[in-house]
Amino acid sequence: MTVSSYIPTAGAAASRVADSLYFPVGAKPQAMTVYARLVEHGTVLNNGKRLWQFGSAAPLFMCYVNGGYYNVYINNDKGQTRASAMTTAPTAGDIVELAAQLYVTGVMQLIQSIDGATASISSASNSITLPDDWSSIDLWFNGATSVGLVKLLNVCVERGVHNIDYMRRKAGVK
Amino acid sequence: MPRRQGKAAICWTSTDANSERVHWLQAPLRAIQPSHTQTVYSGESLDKSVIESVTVGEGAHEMVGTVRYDHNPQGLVDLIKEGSKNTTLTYIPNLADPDVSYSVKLISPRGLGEAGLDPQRATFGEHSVTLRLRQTDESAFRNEMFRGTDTLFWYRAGDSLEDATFTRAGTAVRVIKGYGTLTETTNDKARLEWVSTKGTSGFRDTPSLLLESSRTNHCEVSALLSSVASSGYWTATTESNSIALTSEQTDPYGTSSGWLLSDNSTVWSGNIRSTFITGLSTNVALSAYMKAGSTMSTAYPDDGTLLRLVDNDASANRCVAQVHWSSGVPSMSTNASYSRWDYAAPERCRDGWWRITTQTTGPVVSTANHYVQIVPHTISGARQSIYAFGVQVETSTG
Repeated sequence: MTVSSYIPTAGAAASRVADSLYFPVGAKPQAMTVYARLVEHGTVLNNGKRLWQFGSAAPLFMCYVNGGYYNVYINNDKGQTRASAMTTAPTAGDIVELAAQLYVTGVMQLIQSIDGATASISSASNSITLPDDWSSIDLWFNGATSVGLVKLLNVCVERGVHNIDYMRRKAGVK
Repeated sequence: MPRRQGKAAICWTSTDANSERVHWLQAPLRAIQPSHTQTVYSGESLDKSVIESVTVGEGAHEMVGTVRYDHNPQGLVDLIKEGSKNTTLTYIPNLADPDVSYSVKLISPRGLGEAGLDPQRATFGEHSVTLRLRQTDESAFRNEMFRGTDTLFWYRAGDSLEDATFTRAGTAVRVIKGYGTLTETTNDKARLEWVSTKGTSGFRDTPSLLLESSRTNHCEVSALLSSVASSGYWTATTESNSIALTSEQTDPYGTSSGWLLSDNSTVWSGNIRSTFITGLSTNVALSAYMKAGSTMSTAYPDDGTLLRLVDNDASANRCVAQVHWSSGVPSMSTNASYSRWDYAAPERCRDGWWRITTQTTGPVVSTANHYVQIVPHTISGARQSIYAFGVQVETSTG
C-alpha cells in the first residue's frame, strides 16, 4: 500500500472519506480510445480498484487493477465479459500513460507507457458483442464503488481506435 | 504513384493485376451531410388545403462528404471512374479500426471532368472532390459518421468541473505549488494537488486532480509531539539518553506547529514514542514530515534518523524508515539492521520539509499494541536534531 494525503488528528483517530467524481459524457458503446495520464498514487497496488469506468454497473467498460496490473475490462450484461491485462506495473510516483482501445468488434487492448518510456501493449482480448448502452451516461473517475488513489493529469476519449502518440497529441500532452 | 500517407481509405476490387485498389485519404471525408432520396409524386389542391403524395418504396439514405487534401489526383480519378461503373466501394473512415467500414455505391459524380483543387491547399497541388455515397442496402449511415468532432471527452487537471458531479463529505488536505505547502480543502471541493513531473524532489509545477479512497489516521495526535502538548500521547523516552523538544517551529502548512527534536548528548539515543495504537490490521503505511536540524551527524552511512512502527507485544519492528541527511536532503536506503521494509522516495515540501514514508510488506497482528517511534539519530558518538510534524499511520482497510 502507499501513503495517502495527510489527515490531521488532535486527540482521536480521524478519517478522510473518498472522493467521488463523474462526468455525464454520454458516449455510447462504439469503437473508441480512452487515454489517461496520471501520477501513480497507489491504485495499481490495490486489486479491484478502478481508474475510470463507463457506467456504474454492468454493462460497463473500465480500466481497473487485477493481479497487480492495469486491465481493461468490459461486461456487456449479456453474460459475456472480456479483459486484457498489462504484464508490467508502475510504482508509486511514476508518470503513467494508459490508452485503452475498444474496437467495434469488442476486442480490447491496453497500451501503457511509464515515465515516457517505450509503450508496451497488452494481448488483444477476444471479441464480444457490444451492448447498446452502458448502464449510465456517466464516465466515473477513480471508480463508482472500488475507489483507488490517483493523481490525474489528462484524460481524452476519442472515437475510433488510435495509438498512444495520436492520443497524446489529442490530449495536448505532446 | 500512390503515396501511403492516409488515415482513411476507399477500396474496391481491382480489375488490373492488383488484388485490391486502395485510395488513401489524408483525412476521413469532411463536411459530411446525411441525405435521403425517394421517388415521390405529390399534388396540391387548387386552394392549397390538401396535399396528396404517393411514394415508391422507402427510398435510400445517402451521405455527402468531401475528399480533402488529396495529392494523388490520378488515384482519385480512378476511384470515381470505378464508382461510375456501379462498382461497390468500401469506405473505411479510420484505418486503425478497419472493422468500421461501409459498402457503398458512388451516386455522384458519375464521371469527373477534372479534379478540383483543394481550397486551402491548392498551392501544394492537392485536390478536393465531393462524393455522394449510398450504402448497398440503402440503409442510413451510423450517426457517428456525422459528428462534428472525434473527441468524446477531454479533461486536463485544473479545468472546470462545472459539468461534473463531485462529492466528498469532509475536508481534506492537498499540496499546492512551489516546493509544496499543505492546504486544507473544504468538503465537496475537488483537490487540485501540484506535483513535479521530474521526481519527488522536484519543483511542483504541474496540477493534478487528487482522488483518493477513504483512509483513517490511527495516530491520534499527529502534530503535538510532546507529552505536555499531547496530554501524554507522545512521550520522550530516554533509554540511555535524553531528548529536548521545542515547539513553535515552522511546519509544512507555513504555520508554527512543527517540533524540533534535539539530542542532548552523543549517546544512543533519545527518542519520542506514541501511546499504543490498537486495532491495526492488514498492511500499514507510516509517514511523517521531517526536516534536517542545525546539528547533523556526519557519520553516514551508519547514522540516520529512524521513523518506525513497533509491535510492542512482539518487540519487533513492523516497518522502518532510516533516513540519512546530506545538506538537508534525505535519502533512504537499507543496511544490515533495517533492510526488511518497503519505503518510498522522500517527497519534498516547503521550507526544507520532506514527507518520509515506509510501509509494511505484510499484514500486522491486529490484536497487538503498536507504537510509533521517532529517533533523531541511531548511533553513539554523534548528535543530531531533526524537525518533525504530521505523523500518520494508515491501513489499507481504513
